[in-house]
Amino acid sequence: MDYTDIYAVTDKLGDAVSDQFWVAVALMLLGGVLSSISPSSVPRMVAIVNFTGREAKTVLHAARLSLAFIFGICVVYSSVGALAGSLGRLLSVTGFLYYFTAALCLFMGLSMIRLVELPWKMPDFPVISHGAAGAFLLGFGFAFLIAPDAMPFMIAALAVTTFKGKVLLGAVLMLAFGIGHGVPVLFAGMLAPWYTNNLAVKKWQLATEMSAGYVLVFLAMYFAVIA
Amino acid sequence: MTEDVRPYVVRTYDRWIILVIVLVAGYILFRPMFAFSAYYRGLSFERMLSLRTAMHYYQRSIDIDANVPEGWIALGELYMMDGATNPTNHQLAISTFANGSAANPKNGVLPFLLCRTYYEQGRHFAPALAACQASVKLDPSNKFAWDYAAWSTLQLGDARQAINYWQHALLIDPNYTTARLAIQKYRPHT
Repeated sequence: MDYTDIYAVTDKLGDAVSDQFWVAVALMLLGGVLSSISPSSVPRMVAIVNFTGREAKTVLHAARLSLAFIFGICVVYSSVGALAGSLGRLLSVTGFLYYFTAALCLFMGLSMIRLVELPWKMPDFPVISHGAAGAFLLGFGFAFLIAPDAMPFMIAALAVTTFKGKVLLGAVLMLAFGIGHGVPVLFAGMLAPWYTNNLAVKKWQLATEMSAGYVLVFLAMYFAVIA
Repeated sequence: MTEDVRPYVVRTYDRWIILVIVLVAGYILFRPMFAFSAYYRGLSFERMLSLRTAMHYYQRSIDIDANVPEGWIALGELYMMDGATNPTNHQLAISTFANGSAANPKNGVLPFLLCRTYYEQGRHFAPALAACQASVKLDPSNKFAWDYAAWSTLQLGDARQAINYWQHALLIDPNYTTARLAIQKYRPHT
């Protein structure tokens, strides 16, 4: 099968949904994992690493926050799977979201390279910018950034809802996709307290941060070009 | 040690240089990936039946990197969809496939689609044949290109050469019924 052909991928998934439910769920999980390790998911990783690195003191606490972040992603994805036609509406705003992400990546990247200093501080709301609620909202927000590589899987799940009328099945498939999407996020977020507090890692912190900054600026260009 | 009083931009010139290198080299190296992503976005919109938006992204894919054939193919096919009834779109399909072929001289699909557009919609058999010949030269494994070359040749009055093309198609797929029946029908009777 030609995996660069979106129709081939979605048709294959459609067949799997009709014949073997668990195969379809496994495919969606795998699709979620693959999609989350693509370059488009870097802003999401940076967000969770920053959040858990700042909030959590232990790996267990970081894991809980990462799970809340993933839960936020899953809520959006399951809703998209359940609501027929919602992906179309979501897609229509992705142009704006891509520009927004590009701007965010640009400022974050330039700040990490130490080329600009952001003159303002983010407002500190006691509930929504801390703890599990904050992580959930962060995940919820970042779920709207739909990368191009996630589309074949999302469209396949939506086809189940739209053309077969199986709302629950569409939601379950998208939930599986969200969980798959969350696996690398969980690891990245969970280990954040370790690498933010580890002395050996700290030695390389500036170089790592600056390298990540360059990657973010490059991603800003990517999102702006394809928006 | 004395404090560095040079302006911030000057003190950080190395970071600016690296930034420019990252952006310029990144864009040059990853341009095909950017173009493919834009094409993929277009494909998503096409799948959601937002054809105008899909066209916009296919065009963007072409603008980013004309050497990525997917954008040309997808845009041309959308124009081709109603080219039979809309002469403007027929012309746009032809120009898209022709320009795409020029920008991607190693791609066999674009000349094949150009051949189909000329043959099916314009009934222009000579340019259709030329395009199909270009296509089979680049990709001899496309049985449909051989088939269209055969039909175009037949329409131009050369049944012997048409049979030769169908035989090429049969070599690729011995079960290709269209070619087998056409050979039987147009074979010179002794």
